Amino acid sequence: MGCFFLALTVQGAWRTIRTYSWDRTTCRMRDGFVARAEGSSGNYEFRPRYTYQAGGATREGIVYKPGYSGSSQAGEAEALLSRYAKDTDVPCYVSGDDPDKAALARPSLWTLLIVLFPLVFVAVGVGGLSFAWSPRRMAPDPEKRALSSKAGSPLQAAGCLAAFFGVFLVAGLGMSLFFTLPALKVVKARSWREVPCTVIESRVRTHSDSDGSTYSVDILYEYEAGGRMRRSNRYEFLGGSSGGSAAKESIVAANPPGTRRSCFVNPENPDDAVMDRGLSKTYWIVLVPLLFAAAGFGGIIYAFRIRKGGPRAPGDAASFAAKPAGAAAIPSGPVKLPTPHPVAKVFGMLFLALFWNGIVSVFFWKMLSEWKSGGKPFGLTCFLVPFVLVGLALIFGVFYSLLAAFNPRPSLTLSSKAVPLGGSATLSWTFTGAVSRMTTLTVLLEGAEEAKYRRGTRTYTDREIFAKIPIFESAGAVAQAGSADVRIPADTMHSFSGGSNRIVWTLKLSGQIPKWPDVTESVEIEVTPS
Amino acid sequence: MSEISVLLQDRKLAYRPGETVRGTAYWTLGGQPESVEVRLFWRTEGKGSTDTEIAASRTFQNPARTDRRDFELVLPAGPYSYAGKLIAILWSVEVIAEPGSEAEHQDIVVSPSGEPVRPAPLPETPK
Repeated sequence: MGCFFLALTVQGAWRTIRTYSWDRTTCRMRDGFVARAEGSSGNYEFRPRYTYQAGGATREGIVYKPGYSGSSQAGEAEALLSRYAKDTDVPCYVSGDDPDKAALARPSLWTLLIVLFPLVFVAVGVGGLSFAWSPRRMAPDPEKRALSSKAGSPLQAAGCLAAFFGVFLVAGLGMSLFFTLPALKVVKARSWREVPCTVIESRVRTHSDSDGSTYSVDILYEYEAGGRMRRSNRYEFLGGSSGGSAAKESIVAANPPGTRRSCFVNPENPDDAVMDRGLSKTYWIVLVPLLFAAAGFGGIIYAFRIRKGGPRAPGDAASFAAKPAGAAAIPSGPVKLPTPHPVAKVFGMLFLALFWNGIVSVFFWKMLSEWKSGGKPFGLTCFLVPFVLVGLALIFGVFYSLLAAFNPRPSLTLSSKAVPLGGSATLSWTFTGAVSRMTTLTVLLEGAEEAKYRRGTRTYTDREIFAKIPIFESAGAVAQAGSADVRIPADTMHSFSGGSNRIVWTLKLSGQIPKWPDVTESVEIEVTPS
Repeated sequence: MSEISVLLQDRKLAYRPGETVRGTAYWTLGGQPESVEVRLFWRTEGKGSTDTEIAASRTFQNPARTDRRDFELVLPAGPYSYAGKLIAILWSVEVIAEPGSEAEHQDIVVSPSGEPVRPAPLPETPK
């Protein structure tokens, strides 16, 4: 398949390259005009007529550029009309093989980069085949292969994770450009010249494909600038099309043909005009791709932080596993256990809710617009129900964490950074805030296995609790401060982190507040071999 | 036909953390080896993706096609051998010959008790 598309694109590229062997000559512009293209595109095309000398005769050309199919912006075609003015001599290109073939411009060589697209597919195919047929793959006895060599490089894993989030970052930033670049133009257009303009045509343009229809405002208007009448169909800087036609219909209804109103013209380029230079609320959609970009950026930081903190590489200071027995230097003395700030929890939840609902809302609005326009998208509606429910749960979570932010906040201190198997440490806590609201306080030490694995393209983490050790339970009113012994049994398992598999020990503090979110804190502690 | 084997001193298969693992590696290879190495390592098995880490290793100098070499490798403080519900941690001594990464391994247990740590079942939660 990749080879087929490669052949097609190479053929197109070859046609482009061949125009660069054409002879450069001078053409005389006879006339030119802008017209709508025939067919479904509805693009505005610049249609020139020029004459040139070739093969000992005067010939006529009508091609602007091989492969040119116009533009959705009338202003771009109008700019070409200005550039190739009547009765001027302009450079043009004539085929040496066929002097009847001529053009005013040649396709950009940048278009050749499109060849890379099918080339990626071909490379993946060739790579897959060579991997499948390589002698190493066909080793006679895979059982005899070294088990110790199967260790994945942690840097490699972090790199894969970073690449995954990198896609989010690049896609998010790329998508946000569709909104930020027009927004910058809005700012720039504050200094554009206001001129009277007349609406010639006014309609809502429908763009249909296999995914359904989208709509755009298409108002063609005429204005005078640079000493002649010019045309443009740019309503606002935010181009493209979107779902929902009602708002666009109302704009078109307010600007019927013959309407005289104000437009704005770029003083540096009279073909650059716009009807509405305001910042509409649609621009706020930029927040959705920016959320993707933020998630991608956060993910990349996370990927390299877990690499930095992961106890995988032999000799890593964080890994007791690689050190000889007795050499594990554990700092003594009390250590304050890190607990997330409640405001961070609220923002974390808010970010998650915005991220999830931002994605779901795209499909939700599409579904709504289909219902509104008389369609019956039952399949899409049923499909979206669980996603919308999760979105609502996340919104509930935002409010829940917001209420919990006003809870009494514990500060936890452990008498040593790590507790050996069979050993003990003292856990102390101090509350800030109205501790009297709590009716009970319990502290529990929980040991759990965590196994991370992949199914297809998704990564899952299973968790199995193997130990629950009660540390403290309040009798009566909860005090502002307290302490308890944390004793680790000698016959259990110490903390372990292998990358995909972990054994974690977590102190769980829970304080009940009637008719309000409970006080909950979880903090991991390190349990070392005895 | 290549043959590689590992024999641990006194056929001992259970060790305490920090102990020294002593043994002999034997091999008869199809061709002249570029290198032969003995590795002391742990790996995980179970539901999660496999994690592996080499705790200690030794490369034998000038290995012959048919040869035997003694080795000594010191165990670290952990992790202990473990047999949980989702995760198992297994220790092994492995001999690897290059080229071809032909290998043979011997599983051992590393823990203070001589048995893999097995978590006790949780008490039933009263309803």
